[in-house]
Amino acid sequence: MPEASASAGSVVLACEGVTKSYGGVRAVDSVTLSVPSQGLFGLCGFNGAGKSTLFNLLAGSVRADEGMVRIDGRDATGWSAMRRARSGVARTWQTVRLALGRTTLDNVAAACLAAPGQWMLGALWRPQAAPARERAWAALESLGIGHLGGRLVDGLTLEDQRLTELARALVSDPRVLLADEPASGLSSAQRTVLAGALTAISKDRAVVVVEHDLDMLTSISEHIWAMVEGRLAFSGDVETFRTSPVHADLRGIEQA
Amino acid sequence: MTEPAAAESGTLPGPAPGSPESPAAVHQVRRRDPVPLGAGVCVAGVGALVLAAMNGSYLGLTVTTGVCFAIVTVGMVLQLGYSRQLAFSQSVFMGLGAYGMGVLETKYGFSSLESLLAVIGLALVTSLLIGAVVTRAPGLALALATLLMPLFIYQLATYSNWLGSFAGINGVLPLVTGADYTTTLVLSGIVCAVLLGIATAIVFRVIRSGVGLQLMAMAADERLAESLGISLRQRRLEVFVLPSVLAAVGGAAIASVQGIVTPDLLSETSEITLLLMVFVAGRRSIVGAIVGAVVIEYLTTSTSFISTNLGIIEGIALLVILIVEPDGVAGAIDRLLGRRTDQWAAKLRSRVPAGLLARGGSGGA
Repeated sequence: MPEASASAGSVVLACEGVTKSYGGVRAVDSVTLSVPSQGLFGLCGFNGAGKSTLFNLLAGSVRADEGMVRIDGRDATGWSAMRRARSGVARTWQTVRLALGRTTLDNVAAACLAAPGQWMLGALWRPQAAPARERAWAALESLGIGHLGGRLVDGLTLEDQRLTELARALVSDPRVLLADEPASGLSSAQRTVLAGALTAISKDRAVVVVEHDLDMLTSISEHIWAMVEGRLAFSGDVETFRTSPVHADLRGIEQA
Repeated sequence: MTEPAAAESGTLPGPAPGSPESPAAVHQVRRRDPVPLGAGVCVAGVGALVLAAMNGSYLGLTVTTGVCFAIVTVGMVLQLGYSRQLAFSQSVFMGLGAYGMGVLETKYGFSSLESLLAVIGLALVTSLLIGAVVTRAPGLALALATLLMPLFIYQLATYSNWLGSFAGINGVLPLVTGADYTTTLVLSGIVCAVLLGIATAIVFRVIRSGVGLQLMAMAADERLAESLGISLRQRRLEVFVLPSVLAAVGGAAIASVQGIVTPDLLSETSEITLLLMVFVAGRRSIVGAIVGAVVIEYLTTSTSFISTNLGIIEGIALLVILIVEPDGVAGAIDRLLGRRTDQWAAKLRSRVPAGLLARGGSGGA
């Protein structure tokens, strides 16, 4: 079992021996890892290695069959995705998920109400929409797409849609961001821009990125985890990863 | 965001300050939102004026009943159109409001105001209890969980002598009593218009609030909404309860205007009529839901062919709408206006010199 802790420092998100099976297939098999409270960490592996399932387990979108998930040291295994999100775990999705027919601003604002659990009756007196839209606009602006706030998301380019998703994940000021293949479908130039944005974001929070683009991943990450057939096959710094057999295998697939 | 150099800092370039999409142009968030109150006052005012102008005629009675149905359909816009929670329980709560008024007034001597307040309370408690169970079922399961409710309640009403069986309950008091029938009908119509105005303002306010933003995310993708920290269970319950209470108010108003409540109000045909009222004009349009309710009520009561063959005609109409234009008339108008705007923009581009467009269109795609 490889060393699964990324580096020293307080751990914001961790899992211990988490396992998830679909039918007879173990999508994630006894994975243990710890995410420190600050920095950018890469998660890679072949297609079907269990990366997205692990993200779903960490974010609470899927319940683990075995094992434990901790957020800030507290047992969060039974927590819903909603509770984990409110505890500071934000995520983006492998395929873009936006509310079509609505503006970029509204898509982001939906994630940043000061009181997300406010009852509907309370909304009649304190609608919350204006401050949420102001925060949303600030988040869009920080990623350089504030000018798209009034545009419908339907008409945005894939690059802008991915940045909108990123803004939506960041607007609630999460402690850890799980970004699932954020560069998927983007051009080389767009990847460079995205990599810069992710690096900037990771200055004051933990960012875990699932990515197939090894060049991008190794250029921005401090620590790499690699999964093979549901198991954690590698955990270490980027230099060690570059000389590991897993890296060679992944490179082989990439070049093929 | 096309300059890689900007990636170093993580801040990306936007359009030029003077361009149409500059932050200053886009970022105009109003702290106060006068629209819901304005819309409510507008609906109440226009409704009251129209009904007063009809001066207690038969058409006035029909339109007043349509206004009562509109109270129900406005709630359905929030539930079905905006939040995409399909529940077949509106006619049940409409019946609860109507029968509540009838029972309380004819058997227990309540005044119409007391009955209305009691009915609102009863609908609130009942919808909370029922909603707590059925809203655990997501999506299609919610529809199935509520599908049998109208059938069960209809059977109950027709077999219960206490509820008047097939004849229903006669002698329901008007909301306001005037000197004569005409004045009573006009005053009742105005009260119904005010109730519709209040319902419109409430639904508008919710839709335009932060909760409305969450409902928008929930309607788009429930899994996504949960990952944004939105409590699906809470929101599903709320979008079940508020429209149910509005349906009860609408039902109470219908019984008061017509002076009688019969089991027909609870039937599955009644549920289909409500769906048609919402879908014809556009399930996401509050104005559409109001106009749809009034127009369909008019057509079903004033045309003998339609009223005789109501089930067949409504079934076919609903089917055609769902296939041809699921967003109803409002959706079709939006699309036509969009095409027209595109055509205007294309004409404009062909007339304006290319240099001018290049200077002003840095962000436009």
